[in-house]
Amino acid sequence: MISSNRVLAIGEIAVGMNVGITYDPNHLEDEINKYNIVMETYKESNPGSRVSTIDIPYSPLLGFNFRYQFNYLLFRLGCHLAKPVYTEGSITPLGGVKNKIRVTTYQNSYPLSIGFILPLKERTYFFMGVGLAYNQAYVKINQSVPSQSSSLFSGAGLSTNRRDRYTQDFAGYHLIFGAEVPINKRFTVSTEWIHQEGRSYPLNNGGIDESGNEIILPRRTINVEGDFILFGVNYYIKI
Amino acid sequence: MIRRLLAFILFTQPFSAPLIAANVNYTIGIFGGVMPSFGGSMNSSIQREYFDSESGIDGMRRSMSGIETSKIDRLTGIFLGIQTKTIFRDFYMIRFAGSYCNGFIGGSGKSIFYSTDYGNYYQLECDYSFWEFDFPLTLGLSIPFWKDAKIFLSCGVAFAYGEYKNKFTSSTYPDPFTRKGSFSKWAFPLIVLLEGEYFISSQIAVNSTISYYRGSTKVLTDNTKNDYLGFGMNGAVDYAKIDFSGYRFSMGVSYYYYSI
Repeated sequence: MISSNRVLAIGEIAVGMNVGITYDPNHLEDEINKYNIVMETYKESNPGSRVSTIDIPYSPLLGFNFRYQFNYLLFRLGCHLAKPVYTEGSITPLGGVKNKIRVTTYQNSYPLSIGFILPLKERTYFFMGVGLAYNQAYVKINQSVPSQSSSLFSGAGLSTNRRDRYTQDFAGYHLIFGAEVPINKRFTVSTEWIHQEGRSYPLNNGGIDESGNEIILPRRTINVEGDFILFGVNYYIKI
Repeated sequence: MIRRLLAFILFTQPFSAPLIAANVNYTIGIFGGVMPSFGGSMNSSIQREYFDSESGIDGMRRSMSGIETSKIDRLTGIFLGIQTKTIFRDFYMIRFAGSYCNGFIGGSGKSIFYSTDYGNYYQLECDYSFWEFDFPLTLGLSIPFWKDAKIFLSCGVAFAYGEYKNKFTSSTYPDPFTRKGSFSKWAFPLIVLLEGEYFISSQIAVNSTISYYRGSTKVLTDNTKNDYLGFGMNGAVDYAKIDFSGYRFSMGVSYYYYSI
């Protein structure tokens, strides 16, 4: 009896591994859509030109988490890595050279959550929490021959640089909701949904212009608003 | 025999043979509900370029004294669907569903736009419509709650196909016009689904669900290109994406093949 009370007071520690999926990490959809609209409009009014539009990326997720549970309280530190395969499009003006536009991005987030557990049975929980997240975000847009479409893109407020690159670490916040059930005495499986928000301050460009000169403009922000779907396996450490 | 046949129809039969011994239950049910902000803002290039709205329907809500206008709301969709669930080892579940959703409320009204050619404001009638069907497949956990309730949390992806149409007309403009846009395409939105179920008998349960979809198509080119008369022949070809994102609220009933 004394022993079980001590365990309850100490709480439980678990480590877990997650895999999952997210849509449009770093929120590039609006910018990609702008490129696509400009290219499609050009193709419509210039028969013979060729266009391949850019896909909005989905990304697999790999994650780890460390949790400490104390009665009805949950403290969770996560690490989620999102790196989609690059997405690419192109425009070839009539009689011109193909300009390939390649979007490369990744996002690492480290959410620290505090939440409540709704225990239903032994190691059978619903939980929800909120917290801050430390985000590492990276966005790079390369154009192979930007001179082929510079008048089009500049007219729409889009970049005409050979490379635009932005990277920054910054804080955000998130909401987490999940469920967990036991496999055996030590292992559990979980399903989690994380919605996160966060935006960097305007960042200098680390790219190069059409002529190959280093540039710092235009500045832009990175928006990490998004949703993570995670499936996990967790191991409870005896303490 | 009948139960076996029904299980086969439930698509989950391939999983069932080795799992029946491990406590598998099947459900089939129907559900219906509403989706606020169905289709999102329904923004398109003609609204941005010629009617000065960067945010679709939201930006088209305008009024001005001397010109008759009316409120244009985002669409609210109503959907109906059928779902099957396979619950195995008490805690694990696979859900497959099919649903059809159609815009029911909102999406039409009268606005104004400013013409740089004539330096004046004119009335603009706006009409938006959207329908879609989707087949979501989610994996997740089923947690029995007391004796006669279950809570499900599952995540996954859907195959979704939708058609979005818009129409902008002005009869007061000096060069009267009607512009129509039509877009159709499929996509794979991500889904999170939370469902609570209460058993009214040992095999029948009523349920309530909130689900969140996140995903859209790429930018699509207008399928209606012969609407170029009037408006200086501008804006005949429109560009837009189809947005499947948003929350859905539903209620339904499920039948369990084996008594709980």
